[in-house]
Amino acid sequence: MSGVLDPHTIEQEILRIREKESTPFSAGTKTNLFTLLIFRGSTIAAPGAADPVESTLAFLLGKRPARILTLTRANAEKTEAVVSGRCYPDRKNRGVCFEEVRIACGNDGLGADPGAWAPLAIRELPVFAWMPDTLEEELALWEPALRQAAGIFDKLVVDSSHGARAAANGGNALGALGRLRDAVADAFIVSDFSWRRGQVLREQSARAFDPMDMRPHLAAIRRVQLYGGSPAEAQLFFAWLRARLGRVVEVDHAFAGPLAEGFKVTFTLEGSPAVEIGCTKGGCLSRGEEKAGFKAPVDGEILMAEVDDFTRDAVFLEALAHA
Amino acid sequence: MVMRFGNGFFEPVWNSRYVDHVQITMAETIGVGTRGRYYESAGALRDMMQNHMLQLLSLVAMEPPVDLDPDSVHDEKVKVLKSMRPVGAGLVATETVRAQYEKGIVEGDEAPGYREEEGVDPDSRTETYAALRVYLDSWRWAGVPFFLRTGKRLSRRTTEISIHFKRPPLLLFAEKLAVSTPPNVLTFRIQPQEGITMSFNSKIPGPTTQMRTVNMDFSYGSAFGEELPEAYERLLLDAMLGDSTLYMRKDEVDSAWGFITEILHGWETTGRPGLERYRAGGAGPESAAVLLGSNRWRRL
Repeated sequence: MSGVLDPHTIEQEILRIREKESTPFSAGTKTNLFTLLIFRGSTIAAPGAADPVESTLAFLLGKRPARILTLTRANAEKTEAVVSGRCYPDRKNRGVCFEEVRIACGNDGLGADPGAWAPLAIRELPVFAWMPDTLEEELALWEPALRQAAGIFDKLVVDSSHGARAAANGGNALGALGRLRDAVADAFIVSDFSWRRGQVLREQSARAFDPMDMRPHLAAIRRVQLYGGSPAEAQLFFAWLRARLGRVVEVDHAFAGPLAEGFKVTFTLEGSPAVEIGCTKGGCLSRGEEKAGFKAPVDGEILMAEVDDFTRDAVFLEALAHA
Repeated sequence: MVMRFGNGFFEPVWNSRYVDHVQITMAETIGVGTRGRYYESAGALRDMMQNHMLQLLSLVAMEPPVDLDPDSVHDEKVKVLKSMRPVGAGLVATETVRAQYEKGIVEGDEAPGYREEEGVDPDSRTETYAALRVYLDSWRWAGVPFFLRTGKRLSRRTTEISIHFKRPPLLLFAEKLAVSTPPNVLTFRIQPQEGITMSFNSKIPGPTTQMRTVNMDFSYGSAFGEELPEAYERLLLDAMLGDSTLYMRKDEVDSAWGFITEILHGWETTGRPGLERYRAGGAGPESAAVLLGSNRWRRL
C-alpha cells in the first residue's frame, strides 16, 4: 500500500484541516455544494507568474464552498498528493471553505487512473470537471480518464479560447470538444467558457435583426465579419449563425482580441446597406443607438455561473455540431 | 423496518404511483483475497445477490407485517420473493449483466485483475460483478423496476438502497433545468456512514430562477453517541436470544434460490449476456448503464 492516494487517509486529513481552518469563524462553516475536478496539463504557470486558474477560483472563495481536486501531469517518477484547505468568511462571518487535494500524476500511472481520484469526489453532490488550460492538450491527456469515469461527472466545463491554436495553425479545439461530446453522449453536460463570453455577440446580433422591419434582411445576409473575440469565440459565433440561419454564409474573423476590450460585427446584406453592431468598454451600438454598460464577465463569474447551472444548453450543442 | 413502518409519511408514496425505480447497491473495494478457490465456484450472483441483495429487496418492497413476530415478517418477505418475475433463458440477455474485474487502481493502490488472484483459474469465467433488473408482479410494485448491482473491486465500498421518485406531473421549471430535471431520491445508507439522505431541488439564492439539488441528511454517527453494532454482532446476539427475524426462513431461501437458479441456468444455456471486463477501481462495466435505460446508477 503506497498510501499516497489512500482515500481514507486523505479524508481524515481533509477533516483535520477543515476543523483547523474553520475555527476562527464565529458561526460555523458551510458545507460543500459540489466537487470540482480540475484537469490540467503539464505546464501550469511560469515560476513566479500568477496562475489564472487560481484567480478564477478566488472568485468563488467566500461564495461557494467546494471540494477541489486538481490533477496535473508531473514530470516525476512517483505520483504525489497534497491536501490543503482555506476558508473565507461570508457576510455573516460564516466560513466558506475550499477543501483542496492536488495530485501531481507521475510516471507510475497511479494518479492518472480514475480509480485514484474518483473516490475523493463527494458522492451525494454534483461533480464538475473543468479544463481551464489548453483544451487540445488537456483532452489529449485526459480524454481516456474522462471516458472511463464518465459516470461520476455531471458536467464538463472547458475554455476553448484558452491557449487554443487558431484554425489557421491547425488548431481545432471545438472539433476535439465535439468529438468528446459525441463519445460521452448524455453521460454528462458539456459547456464552454467561450460560449458564455460570446453571449454578447449573439444578443447584439439577435437584437439588431429582431425588429419586424429587419427580419426580412436575415435572408439577405451574405457575409459576416467579426473584429474581436478569440478564434474559438468567433468559431462558435459563426457556427451559431449557420445553425440559426440554416445555411452557410461567408465569414471572416478579421481581428482576434479579448471580447472584453470590445468587438464589431458587420453583416453584409444583398441589396441593402450593411448592418453593424459592436460594443466597446463604454457601451454597445446597435442600429445607430448607443447603450451604455457593456461589461464582459470575468472568468470567475463564468465559473460560478457554470457550477450553478445544470442546463443542457441545446443552442450551444447545436452550434458545436455546426462548428 | 423501523424507518419504513415507524413513520407515517413513507407509506402513502411507497408504491408504483410515486416511485419511478429503486436501486440497491452492494459495492466492495476488496477483491477475492484468499477466497479465490471458493469464489471460483460461486461468483457474485450466488455469493451476494442470492442472499444479501434479495434480503434488502424484500425489506424495501414488503407489505407491513401484522406484528413483529418473526413469522409475520418472514410471511411478508417471502411474498416479495415469490412475486419476482422470473428471469429465465429468454430474458437474461436484456435483464442481467455479468462482468469480471481486471487490474486497476483501488483505494490508491494497484490491484491485480481477478484472473491473477490466488486460487483463480487464469481463464476464469466467474463473474465478480452482477446487475439485474427485477420486476415484482404485485399490486404495489407493478411496473416499477428494481435495479440490483453488486461487485468487487469497485471504486468505493457502499451498501445502500435508493428510492427514485417520479418527477412532478407538470415540469414548471423544465426550461431552467432542461432535460436533466433531477428526481427526488431517498437513500438509505446501510454502510458505511449509516443514515438517510433525501435529495430535492432548491432555488439558488438570487434574482434568477435557477435550481440545484440539495440534500437533507440524517446520519447515525452524528445523531447518536453510540456506534451501531456490526451486522454479524447483531445476528449472533439474535441467535443467542432465539430471535429469527433477521434470518431467512426455509421458504425464503427456496424462493431466492429458485429465482437465482433460473438466471444461472439462463447464463449457462444461452451464454448471454457475455462476460464483460471492468477496470478495478471503476464503477463497473459499461453495459450496466444500459440496463437502466434513461436513468443513471447512483454515483459510487
